[in-house]
Amino acid sequence: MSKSHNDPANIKRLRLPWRFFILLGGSLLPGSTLFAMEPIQPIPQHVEYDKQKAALGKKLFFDPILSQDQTVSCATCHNPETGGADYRTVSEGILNRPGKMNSPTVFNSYFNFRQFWNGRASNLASQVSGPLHNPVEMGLTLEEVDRRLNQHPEYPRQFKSIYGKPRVDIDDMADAIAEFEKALYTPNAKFDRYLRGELELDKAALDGYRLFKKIGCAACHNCINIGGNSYQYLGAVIPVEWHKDQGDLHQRTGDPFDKNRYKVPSLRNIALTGPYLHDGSAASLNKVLKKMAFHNLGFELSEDQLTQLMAFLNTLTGDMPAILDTP
Amino acid sequence: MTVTGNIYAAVLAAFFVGALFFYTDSQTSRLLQLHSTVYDTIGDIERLEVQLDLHLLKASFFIYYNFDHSHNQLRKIRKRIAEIRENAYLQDPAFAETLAGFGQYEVRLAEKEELILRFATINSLIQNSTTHIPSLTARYLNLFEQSDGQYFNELSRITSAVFLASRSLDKDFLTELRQGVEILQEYHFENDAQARFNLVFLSHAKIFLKYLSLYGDTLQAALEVDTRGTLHQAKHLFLEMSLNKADQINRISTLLGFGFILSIFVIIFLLMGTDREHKKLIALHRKLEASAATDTLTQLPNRFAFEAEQKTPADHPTLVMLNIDGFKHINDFYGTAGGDEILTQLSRQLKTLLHTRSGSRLFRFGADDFGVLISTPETQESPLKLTQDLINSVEHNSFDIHGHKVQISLRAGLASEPPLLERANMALQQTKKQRNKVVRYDESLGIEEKVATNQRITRLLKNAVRRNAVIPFFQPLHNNVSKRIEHYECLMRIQDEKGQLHAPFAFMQVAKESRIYSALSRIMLEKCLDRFQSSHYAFSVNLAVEDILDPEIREYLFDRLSSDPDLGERMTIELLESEEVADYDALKSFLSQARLHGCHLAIDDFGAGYSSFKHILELEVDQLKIDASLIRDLDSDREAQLLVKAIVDVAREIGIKSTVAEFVHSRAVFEKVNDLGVDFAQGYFIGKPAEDLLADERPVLVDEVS
Repeated sequence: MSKSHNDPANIKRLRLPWRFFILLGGSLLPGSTLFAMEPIQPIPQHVEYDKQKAALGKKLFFDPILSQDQTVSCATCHNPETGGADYRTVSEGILNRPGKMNSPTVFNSYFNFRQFWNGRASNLASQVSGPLHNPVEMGLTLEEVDRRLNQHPEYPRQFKSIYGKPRVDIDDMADAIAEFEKALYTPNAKFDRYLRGELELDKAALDGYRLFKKIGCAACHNCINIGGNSYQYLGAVIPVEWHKDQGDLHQRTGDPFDKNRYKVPSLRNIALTGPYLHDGSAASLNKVLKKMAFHNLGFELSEDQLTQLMAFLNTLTGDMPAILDTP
Repeated sequence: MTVTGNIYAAVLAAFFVGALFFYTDSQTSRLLQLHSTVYDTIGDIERLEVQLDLHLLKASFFIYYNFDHSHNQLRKIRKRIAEIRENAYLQDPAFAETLAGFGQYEVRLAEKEELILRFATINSLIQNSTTHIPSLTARYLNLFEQSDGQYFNELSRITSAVFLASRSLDKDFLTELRQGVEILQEYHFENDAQARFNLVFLSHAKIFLKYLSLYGDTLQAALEVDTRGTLHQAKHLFLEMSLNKADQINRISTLLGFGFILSIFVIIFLLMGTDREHKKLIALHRKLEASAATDTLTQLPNRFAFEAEQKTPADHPTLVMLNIDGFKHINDFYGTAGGDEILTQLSRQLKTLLHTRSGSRLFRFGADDFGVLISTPETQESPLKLTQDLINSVEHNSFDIHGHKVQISLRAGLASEPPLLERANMALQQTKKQRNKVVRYDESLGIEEKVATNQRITRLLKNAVRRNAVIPFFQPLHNNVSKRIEHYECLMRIQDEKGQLHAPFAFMQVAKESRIYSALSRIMLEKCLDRFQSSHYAFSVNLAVEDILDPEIREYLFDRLSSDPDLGERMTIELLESEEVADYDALKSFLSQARLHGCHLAIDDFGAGYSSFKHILELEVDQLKIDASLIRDLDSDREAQLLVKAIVDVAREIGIKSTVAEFVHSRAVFEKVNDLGVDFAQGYFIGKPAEDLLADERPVLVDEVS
């Protein structure tokens, strides 16, 4: 299928009038023609969400009240300044306790088919309670969260006006945070605009995209989030070492099939979300590319190829979520 | 009434049941709608399942493929299931099993999802290596200048095996692949790059060895998870239960429908009941009406029956009203039982007589009044003839009362124009006056005309008063001793607008009844007094009791007489002998006052009534005017001569100053009057009443009266 006429790489080989015609058609028709068979889909420019709930969720997201010693908020490890992820190798929770995993980005997490590295939450709302109760992360019991929220000078009134219940309900809290996270989408990445026919990519990025598809990256990193929609092995071709309790699927299922099997992380805003991999073991994009190419594709990247891929990956940085700009 | 109450109850029940019927009907259609929603949703899920499988197969076919498609598909299916769970139709406990069926389906779906996720992992491995092995083989020649033909052969063999195995998913081809891998593993390279190449190539080839079999199995398993069967089972349960439920609703609807029809029948039954009651009441009513309309003595229909019959009158009916002459005497003589016997026998006889006569009906109106209602076609004998026949037959017969033979006579009044009863009765009354056995009603008998006449006369009189058209006429009295005219009687005449004159007999009755009389009298009196004030004649005025009792007239008269004493001396007041006097004292006081003015008193029409001399003596009468009935045939009537002789003698004896013979219309009568010693003669033979007094006091008496 890589020989499709709609492949942007193939378009370049067509004569100019045809290219013009196809690009024109692509820009006139509602987008889909150009990237119908592309493994990557652009992030929607508008995602519908409940403004009130999201505003409340935003407040909760940044509120350290939800951690035991009131030092940590959701935003501590999912920092909007660093692509919605943690700049540290592994995140630190309360009392500076080190976690085991590198925080995946909260941006665009709505488009993931599961949450957490091992996909143990099927949606955003059910993800919320995970870090909350994790003794290393925020370390709160349900009762404590309930007490803190209901004794808060503002939350009870705000929750009541939205959810119409006399008391703050923890499920409603999770719902509000999830609604906020839904609003954390980053549209209009250069690559998305290219897919929509709004601009041309430079040669290096285009070559990088072709390489991305050719060498097999797209087999796992595809669709809107360029990942986040399947479980795959780390070290699929050239195995990596396996340790117990490293947060893979095996830790959850105990199935030998699941050893070193993780939810594929999104490549959206990849330039911002380092360090990389579940354990933050790859400090730079360069390093993680080499590692992934070797272990998962059995492929050694040349410097040119590395440059091309980097050029491509740098086009995946989108606009900062609009909701962060609103007070 | 209880029947009405029952009907109300039944109508209420019908209404209730009907409402319930329509309610269940609307519920049914609502359930039907919910049912089809569920059914449609199941159809949706089945379609989504097919698409899910299609995505799975596409993913296995293409080197890269969007896994989001599968997730979206699964999300849609789960949403549909949630919709089904929330459908109000399925909240009924009867659908618990169905919902459990859908729960089963969700479990299967989760199994399938797990397999799909596994497949996605393996698929990426397989697809990757499928692309890398041929490209690595191609790269081998580029990478290494000193290529090993044997090694390259192995690479190609593996490439070919990988291609075959991946495209066929046939494990047989893995044997060849394994042999190739074993051979390549035996190679040892001095060149690091070569060793590294071999390692990478082997890694890719081993992925096939390790995962291809699992890959095929997982795909197979994912496609074969029995989601469809479970869904089908749930659908089957749903339809079965739905059908049950529909049956149930149907039964209730049918039951309610029957209930509705039943209550309608009950209403009809009850209505028929009331109708029967109604008919019974009508029959009872008729019976009562009949008994009220039947005369108990003769068993003949009575007056009520007649009147009821008159509401729907026959064509040209004639009513003959029969009455027994002097029935009161029969009752007095034979007792009421005897009278009743006569009535019974008469009714029987009349019935027999009328038997042959079709279209005639016999009634008893009360007492001795019988009625025969005849509806006469014109061709048959006339009612008059029939009546006469009836009367003849009855009168030729004699009735038997306790062994006594009694004969009766009948009179009859006939009427053919409504109101029959009143008019026949009027005609019957007329028989007594006309001395006719049978009188047929006609307009002349009617009061209508009397009333009309009265109104005409009243108008005439009022008009006369208004126009001062009361004219005194004067009739001379002949003094049989002096042979001269010395006295006139004043007579009232009324002139109508055409100049015609009317004598008092034509209007006096009406005048008295309509209170115009006093005005007439007043005018008359005034004119008479005026007339005789300027003459030397004596004169008579007729005064009725009403005049004498009228204070206004009385005052006027005595005022005139006071101012002109000569007038009183010449005036005679005539009173009618026949007039009934209620207040004798008032009359006497008037007369004594009149006498003070020198007035004389005359009794008019003496001999026509029943007045006795006793009264005349009491009133100290001056003059008796002998009635026309005694004078008319005086020349030939011996009895009259004796009577007049007696009156004259008695009058003289009791001190009455003079006698007058009225209605002297011939010389013969005039001479007889003279022979009998009557003092005055009055009549056409002497002189007709006229507006003027006679020119000569000695009248020319001629035989011919024109």
